[in-house]
Amino acid sequence: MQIEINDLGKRYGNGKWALRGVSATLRAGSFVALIGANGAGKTTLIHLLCGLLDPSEGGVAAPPGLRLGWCSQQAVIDWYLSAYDNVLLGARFAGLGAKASRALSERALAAVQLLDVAHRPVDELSGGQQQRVQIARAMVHEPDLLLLDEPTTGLDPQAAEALLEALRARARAGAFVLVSSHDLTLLERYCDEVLLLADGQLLAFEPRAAFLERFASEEIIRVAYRGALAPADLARIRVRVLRVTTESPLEVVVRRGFPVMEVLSLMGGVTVTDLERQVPGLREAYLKLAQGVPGE
Amino acid sequence: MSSKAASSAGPLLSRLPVVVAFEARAFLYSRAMVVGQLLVEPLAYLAFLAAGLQGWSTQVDLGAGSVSYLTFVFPGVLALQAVRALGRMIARATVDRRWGLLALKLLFGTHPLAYVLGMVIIPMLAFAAQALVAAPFAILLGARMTLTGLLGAVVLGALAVAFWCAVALLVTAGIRSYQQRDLLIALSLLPLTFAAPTFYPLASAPAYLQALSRVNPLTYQVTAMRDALVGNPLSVAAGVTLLLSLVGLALATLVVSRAELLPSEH
Repeated sequence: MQIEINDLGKRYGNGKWALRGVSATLRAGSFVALIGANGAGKTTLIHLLCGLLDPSEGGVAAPPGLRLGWCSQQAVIDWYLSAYDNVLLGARFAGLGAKASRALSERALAAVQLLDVAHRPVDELSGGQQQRVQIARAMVHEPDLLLLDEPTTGLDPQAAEALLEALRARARAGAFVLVSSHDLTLLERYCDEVLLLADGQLLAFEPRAAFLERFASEEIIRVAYRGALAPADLARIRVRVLRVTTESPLEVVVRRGFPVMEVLSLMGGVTVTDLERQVPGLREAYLKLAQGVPGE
Repeated sequence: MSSKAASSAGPLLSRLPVVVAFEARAFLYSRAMVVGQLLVEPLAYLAFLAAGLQGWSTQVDLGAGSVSYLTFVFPGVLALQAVRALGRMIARATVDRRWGLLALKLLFGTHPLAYVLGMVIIPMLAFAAQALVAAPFAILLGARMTLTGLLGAVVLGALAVAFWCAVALLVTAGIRSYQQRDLLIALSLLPLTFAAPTFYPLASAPAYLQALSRVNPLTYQVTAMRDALVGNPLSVAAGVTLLLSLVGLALATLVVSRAELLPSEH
């Protein structure tokens, strides 16, 4: 099962294209990390997929009858209702019966650890709790398509972790999951694919490993040692690695996945006292791209 | 090719009970407002304004006969409550639009007609409750009415509420801020209420007020309620009241169906 995004574009009333020429195939069961700078078009893409906006060009083809779970970047909350009622609203408007909705709402509130404040007015909750109300509402009816726009904003680290774990579980259960966030370190641990937007254009959409291979292909190995490294050994090391940054401690840049032992085995006559390996992730890849360094 | 990934098609009124249920919850959210504004306010108008003015004008000529001032003014007090539904609905609908709830509800397959009807039903029921609580008090003060007359007035008043709620939904489509909302509510309620025969017969009003009252929907609504109260529920004013409500609800449905769901986008 897949959703085809075909040459999708959106131009707002001011004439500016917020998104243009975006084509991608979203697969059921895949957790997609939607990344990009502020104003890159992430929210516009989510709103187009939801149907909150009409495209100016292109379109989206999806299997019929998908149940949508949407969490906005801004609070979508009925301030005249309690936290429980806000979650219940999601289930009832999604078409679930009253009894099932009540049970699912309690479960969703328990999952985001809000059961103890469930019947308090939403405006008495903290920002993070209000965000959790939104998340519970987006997920209460076990949707097939989850579109979440910066859902980790305002969440504490444990809550953010628990949310992404739950989203991955939904993806494993066969749902489409698309999540935008600036918390790239966290996203990297859970996502299957990365969709990168820049200035409204699709810059990359590929599996996480391939994305990292392309945009974060270099690692840094740092070796602290006692003794003197022989010039001949250093010369051999220079041949094997991409470059040597410093000689003492020895810091070398290597291809992603390069075996550390190859470096260590060339360091004869010294005693290694510390070893550090920096593996760049989604965050580093993104920062590198943001600085205009092309992929390889 | 579709423009969206999620399916939102649903039968016309399938979500109506859900909209009504959540509007009821939102209505009961502020119990102080329910008791104070909705139940105490009409009693206060009767006790402090209508009863006081009765001494100044004991009988009012309705053309087909004269009635006591309290019998005359009771529909006026109810009409005042009907038009106040405008302000409450503007506040409620602004929350729905400003906070993306309208978008959420429509995305989940709520038909605009179900949304509009769902939004007006609770205010109509609240109005009926107000009228039924206020009526015994009005009788106690000296108003005269039959049960069928009262029920006819309540039905027509509830239709008036539906009209003002529909106006609120229409107006809300153009509201971009809470300041606009509050200004609109403040500026509209007073002239609407007093440019109509709510507390005094139009015959004694200045010419400009009489002219204004002819284009004020509240004139026909209060007249329809007053006619019903004295035993003539099927008056011309009742027909105008019904027509206004139907047209208002139809226009509100049209506007909601064409509403920008994300007014903050640009």
